[in-house]
Amino acid sequence: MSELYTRFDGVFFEKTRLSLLTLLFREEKLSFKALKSKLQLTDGAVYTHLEKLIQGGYVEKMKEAAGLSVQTVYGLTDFGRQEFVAYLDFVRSMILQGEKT
Amino acid sequence: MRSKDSYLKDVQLIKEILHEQEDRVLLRPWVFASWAVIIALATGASTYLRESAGWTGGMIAWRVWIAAILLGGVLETAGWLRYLRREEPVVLTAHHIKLLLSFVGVIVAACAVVSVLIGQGADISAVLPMLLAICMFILAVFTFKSLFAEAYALLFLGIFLAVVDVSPGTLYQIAGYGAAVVFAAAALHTRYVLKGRNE
Repeated sequence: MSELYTRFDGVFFEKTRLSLLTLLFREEKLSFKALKSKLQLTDGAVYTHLEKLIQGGYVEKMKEAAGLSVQTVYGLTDFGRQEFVAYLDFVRSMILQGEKT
Repeated sequence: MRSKDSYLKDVQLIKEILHEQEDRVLLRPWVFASWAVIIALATGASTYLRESAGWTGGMIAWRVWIAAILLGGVLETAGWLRYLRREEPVVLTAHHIKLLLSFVGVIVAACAVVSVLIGQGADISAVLPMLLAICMFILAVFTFKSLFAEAYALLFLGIFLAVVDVSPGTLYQIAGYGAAVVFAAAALHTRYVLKGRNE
């Protein structure tokens, strides 16, 4: 379990990054402006956290039609999607473990 | 190690985000309010013109309702453009394409059924609220789920008009003003939802 703990530690234990991953898990792809408006964060905060997620291999960026123009949009990588599901399993097991003790 | 509470907070955060995404508001209240006013005015104007100026059903359809639909369509398009500018959504995801293909098919089929009914001389006062209900059902799938209330209201209005025994003129006015009331309710409902989210 401690191995899992450290595996998820850096990315998922931070509110904004978990929020970004949840949105991208649900929505497939989102523009920067959409992420910013849904989480009501500043440009800098969204950018910093997205960059960390990109560096970790969880999120990828691409150019696509969004709104009324072509823009940089963000989506989860296959790895990011797998890790998000794994994190949900991990959280469930932690809560169940907490209930048993 | 983190406490159990912090994991519960994570679950709560994920649930809140998923709920808000599921129940997002796309069109602003003024779009529904515009439709309510346009439908009410077109119903009133067409009733007056038929009774006082002797306009035929064809003249009313072309000169009143087509103009009303065009005006409403322009305003609704403006509402969608504002949404696209505000949220900048990615519109061509696999999920969206599947939904759009399905809904365009439903709308085209429904319009074809209505035109066949008109061609056979049927009174369409009961059919039009149902056609509006189909549009509202489709919008409710994309937007917040409580908008299904207005969609069902339009559907029941159509069913009621199909079975009630009143003169065609009264039927026409109930259909028009009834639809306007439902759109006004949708405007207030959307405003209430937005207010609840401090938007």
